Amino acid sequence: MRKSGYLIIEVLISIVIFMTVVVAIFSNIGTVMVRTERSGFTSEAGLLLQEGIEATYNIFLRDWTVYSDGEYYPAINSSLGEWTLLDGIESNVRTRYSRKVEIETVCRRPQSHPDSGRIVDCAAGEVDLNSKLVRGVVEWVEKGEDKKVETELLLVRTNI
Amino acid sequence: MNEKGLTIIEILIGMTVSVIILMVSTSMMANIFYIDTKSKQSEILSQVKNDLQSEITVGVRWAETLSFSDNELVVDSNVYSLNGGLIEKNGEAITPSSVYIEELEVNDFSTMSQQKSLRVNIAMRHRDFTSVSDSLEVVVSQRKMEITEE
Repeated sequence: MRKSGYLIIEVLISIVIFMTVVVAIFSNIGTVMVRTERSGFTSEAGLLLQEGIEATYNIFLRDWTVYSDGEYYPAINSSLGEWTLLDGIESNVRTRYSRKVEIETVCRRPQSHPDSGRIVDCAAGEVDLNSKLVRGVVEWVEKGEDKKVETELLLVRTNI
Repeated sequence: MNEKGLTIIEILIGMTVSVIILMVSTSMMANIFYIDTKSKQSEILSQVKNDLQSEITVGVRWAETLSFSDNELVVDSNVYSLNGGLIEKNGEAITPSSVYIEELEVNDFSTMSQQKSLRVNIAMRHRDFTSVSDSLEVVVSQRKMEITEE
């Protein structure tokens, strides 16, 4: 005898289709949220990078010879209320990031060279005492993946 | 025996399943709506942050004169001030009315008085969705510019 209505298998198939659609929607929303979050981390890292470079620029306006080549990070000298550079790499910045500012000697092609003044490896040029390369690096780990933003600023001393 | 129609147990099971599905889908729709709304509001705050960062960085970096006081930053002839939850530039709002700016704080950590190095803190939240908030902390140093005449 035929009975109208749904079989249990039909109900189960409907539920499976419904849940598949729901999972697909939530998965898409999850992806969008993760992207938004990642974009926020990169943006914050960019601001930290900017802070490092801008502070270093201001410090070198006054203290050109104080800092030799190496790794530093910016901090505020609380007694003077001004920027300073501390040795090493700053970790756990806002619980997530590590930050450093690398100071490097700049070498250029000598005056006698047809390409004089061009920045080259120090083995192929002369040290330019009036130039320094500042490289800012901010790193963090995001869902087990290493992330990094970096930038460089060439400082040239003109008020000798 | 006429077996057409539904038994009470079938009706009850049907109603139970319908109610469960209705509850789950309503809850999910509410969640989706909430997440979507919050995401849009956060996006607005991010956009405001980017705009302010760009405006302040470019302005301060290449400024000839700089001064600041409570809730105010003066860059050359441009006056940035916090007024009624909006940041104004020379009296005209440069932040949208949907964003409430709670704080505009400026500190100078420069190593020399001629070239300032400012840290500008701006705290903001959405006017309607107060749980959506963000902050901007941007550091920018005034460039030393020497114009020589020959």
